[in-house]
Amino acid sequence: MVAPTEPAFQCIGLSKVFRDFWLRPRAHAVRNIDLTIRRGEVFGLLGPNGSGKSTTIKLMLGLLHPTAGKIAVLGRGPRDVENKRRIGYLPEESYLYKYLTPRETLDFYGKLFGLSPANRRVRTDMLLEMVGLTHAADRPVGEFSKGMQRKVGLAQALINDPEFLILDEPTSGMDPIAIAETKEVIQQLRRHGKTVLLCSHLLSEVEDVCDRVAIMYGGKVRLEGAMDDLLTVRNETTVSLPALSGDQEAQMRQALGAQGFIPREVKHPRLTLEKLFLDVISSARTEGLDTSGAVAGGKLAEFLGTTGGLPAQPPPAGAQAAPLNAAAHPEPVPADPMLMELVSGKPSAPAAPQPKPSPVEIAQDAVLDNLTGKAATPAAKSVAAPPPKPNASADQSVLNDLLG
Amino acid sequence: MLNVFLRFRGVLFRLSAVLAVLAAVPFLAGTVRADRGLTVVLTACIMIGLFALLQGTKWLLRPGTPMFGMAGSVVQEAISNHWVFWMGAYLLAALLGLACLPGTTERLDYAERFFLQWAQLKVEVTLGVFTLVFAARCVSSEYAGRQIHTNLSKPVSRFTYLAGKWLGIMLVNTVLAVVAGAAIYAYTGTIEARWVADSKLSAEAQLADRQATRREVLSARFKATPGMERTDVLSGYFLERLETMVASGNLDNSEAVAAAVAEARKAGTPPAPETFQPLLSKRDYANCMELATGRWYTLGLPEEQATLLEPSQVYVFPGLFGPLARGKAVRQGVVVQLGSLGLSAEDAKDFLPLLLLQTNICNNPRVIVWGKKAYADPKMREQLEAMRISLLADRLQLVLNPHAAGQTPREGMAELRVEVNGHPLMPLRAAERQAMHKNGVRVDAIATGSRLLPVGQPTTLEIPFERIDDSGCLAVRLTRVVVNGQTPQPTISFESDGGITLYGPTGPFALNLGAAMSVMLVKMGFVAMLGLVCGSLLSFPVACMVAVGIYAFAACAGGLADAFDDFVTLGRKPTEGLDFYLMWAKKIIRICMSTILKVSPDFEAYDARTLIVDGVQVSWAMFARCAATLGLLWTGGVALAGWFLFERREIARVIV
Repeated sequence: MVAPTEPAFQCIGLSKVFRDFWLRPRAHAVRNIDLTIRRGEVFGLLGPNGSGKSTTIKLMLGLLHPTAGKIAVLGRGPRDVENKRRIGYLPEESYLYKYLTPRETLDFYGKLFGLSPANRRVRTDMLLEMVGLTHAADRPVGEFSKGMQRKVGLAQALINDPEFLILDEPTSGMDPIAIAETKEVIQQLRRHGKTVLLCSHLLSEVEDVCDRVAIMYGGKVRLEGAMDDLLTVRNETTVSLPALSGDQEAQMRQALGAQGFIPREVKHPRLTLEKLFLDVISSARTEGLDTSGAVAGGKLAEFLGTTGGLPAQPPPAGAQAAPLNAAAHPEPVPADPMLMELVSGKPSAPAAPQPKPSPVEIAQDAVLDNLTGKAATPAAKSVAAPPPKPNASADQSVLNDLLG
Repeated sequence: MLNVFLRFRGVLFRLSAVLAVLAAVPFLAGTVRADRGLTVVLTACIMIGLFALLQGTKWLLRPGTPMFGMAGSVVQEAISNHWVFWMGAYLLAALLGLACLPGTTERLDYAERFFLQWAQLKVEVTLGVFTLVFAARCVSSEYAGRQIHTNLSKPVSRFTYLAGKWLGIMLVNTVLAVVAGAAIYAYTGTIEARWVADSKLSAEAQLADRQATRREVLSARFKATPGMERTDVLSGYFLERLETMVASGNLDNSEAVAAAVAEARKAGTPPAPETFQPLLSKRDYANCMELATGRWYTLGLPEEQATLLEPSQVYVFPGLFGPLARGKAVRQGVVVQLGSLGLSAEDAKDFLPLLLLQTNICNNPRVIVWGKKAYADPKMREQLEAMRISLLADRLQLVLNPHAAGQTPREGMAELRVEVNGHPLMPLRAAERQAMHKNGVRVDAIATGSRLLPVGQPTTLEIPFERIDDSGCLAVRLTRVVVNGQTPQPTISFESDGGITLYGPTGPFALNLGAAMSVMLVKMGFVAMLGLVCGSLLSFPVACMVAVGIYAFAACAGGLADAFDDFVTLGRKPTEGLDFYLMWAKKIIRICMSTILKVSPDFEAYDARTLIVDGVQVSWAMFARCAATLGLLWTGGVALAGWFLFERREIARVIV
């Protein structure tokens, strides 16, 4: 399959001015923005409330008419009806019919895309399984929590296997598990060559999944670029070690100081609340507790990626065929003995043997050995970034104080 | 137990729907009439039928097209929010209540007419308001709930969006109209059952009244108004009336008209009335034409010739080929049946008048012998009675509604001689009247040579099909009878609209009711589109107000037009002061409103209700006119205008 050359979305000089009844300018929602979203990338559109993100999306979908500027979506105009067969859209709120069940909702949107009854049935079942709503498929959407409604919304946006997926606040109202699953869906869609526009306030989720971002403020794009370029702090390095005793820490500081490296901060890392939460829920599901809410989603619906988009990209090692809830618990249950003890209330089993370190880790351990003057534990890991030059004179006195 | 029921409720529902449909088949086929007990069962069947029809509608909308998708969402909304069920239940309850309203002391045909009149009005108004509110809400609620954002981000053009919504509303409407139609049909049987149970009339009178009601109300009949025997008659009357008006000096252009009249007299043959139209004012022409026509509808005494009135007039109903063919077919069928009983075709033709009791004279000895033998055999006699009833079942009905210009000698009864195609219908002897009674034919409806007709009330005279001549023409001569030894009758006249009318059966009542419901659905189509367009451009309350205003305007267009025509002409015309300016203001209002009314839709022009009440056929021509005018022109026009504006409207609002 040859990848199309035109961008998934491009606008030049796009402006939108809302006017009142007397045609007086009321609000400048978008001001002369130029934006390009390349095919196959996950693009994040960020900005505070009222910065013009949703307006830009609605201009993109032809729900609003631009005051000035040009827009091309998948190479065609925004109001081209046939072109919308290739687009999936999840609005900022779940604007669903409250009286329809998820199954009826997906069937309805499938009809709008001209899918046959049999095809609709298959896709509906797959999507409901994907978002973990199979058990609630015949309850009216109006009875659902906001997060469950968002899941139905996400499923409807995927019913047509879109080339270009526009997600406006997709995780709004979702629980952390659902957020993690949604992020995994987005990543898998990217691997299948889909283009995704992600508009969100939750910066962490954008950071996790986006290739490029644009930050809007006051209707203008203030910053645009690749995620790595924008976020990597080049003048600092973080080293991660197994837990050190007081003596070992002192020795390490001494050794670093001898090499001219003065640590700014040495502390025990904290577990994130998200990880703790995910592990608690994972444990509950392992025990098979009943719930009328959403359950863990399945794998990405099989039909997604079978049509449209760029050729599927090979996933990173170890990421292929992972279930959607794999993000919530990448391994079946991470064998953190203290965490398991906390979750289950029972004394933990002896820690499982640590995996054999890779050659890179052995090399890094060797460097650490040199620094500390003793053999490192096999489980040691590090961030492989070039060490910055030490600011020796400034921190030497502090280090001396610490080491006595 | 409950869980088992809930688990299998779908299967139970489908099963009951099938049973309901099966149970309703004989009823719909007309083989079963609803009595009181059956009414309850039928009401339940109709309600289950409503469920079944809705499921069928959903099934029809299964194919994956955007328009069907949008239509399906409307149907699903009506089902899920239980609107359609409540509306169906409300219609059934209201119609059942209406069916119980007429007292059983009334005549059956009055009770049926009362029910049909109000039931149809009830259904039309209820469905109209429901459609309007539902349609206006359909789009405006999507704006408020923003589902329209998601829907229009799919490959759905705005035209498809509107058309799909309209289709969905019309499908819901169709289901409700079918339910209402079935209920109306069912409850006409209920009224009859109540009437039969409570009536204090004799069995024969009950039977006669029931049969007359079925022929005159619960049927589909064509309606014909008479024409003149010769076209120059009206011209002559017009010319004579014009001469009178010239002589009295009541014309605006007397001299020119007098000259034209004199010239016409010289020519001999009176010219067509249209010849004088350029010389006469609109008012004078209409006045003269009305008087000339009125003369034709009036019967005076011979000594009143000076007043230009004649004692006898012929009223012609041409083009009755349908009834002629139908009568021939029925007769042919009877001849064949008589053949199977051993009578030759030639003899059977001689036997038919005897069978119909039209005469007791027969010159064919073979027929007399065969007839005596046949009537002596009880089995054959029964067969002959069945043949006679089948021959009498289809008859033309001549409705006369005479007015007298003074006191009649026979206590409010006018006496007229009625001749049909030159044959006076012989009066029946007492024995024959009794036989007619026994065989279920209403005596009042048999035309006789000289008849007493109640003044100011319509009277039905039944005329057999065989009276129609081979050219499909029926000429009815009405002659005012001079009653010997009595005070002369005053002048007898008939209104030009409905004074003399001929009816004839064309089809069953159920089909006629279906046609009336179809006409109503066309109107609902316009209302639905109006509501949708208003709802797509305005907020819900404003859309409702605007749409209701236009709907009311369309529903009352005929009455409003008459009202505005009289708006200024009533009262004296002021020449100065405030009243003078008010008069001009009224004139301007009248011109504006008349112009608007001329270009606005007119529901009253397609009023099937009055036709159903009179048992008159709702013709396909009327349906086609209604579909072309209200359906294509108006609904299409509103749809195009709405689409044009909707296409340019921004769907989203300010979110910055």
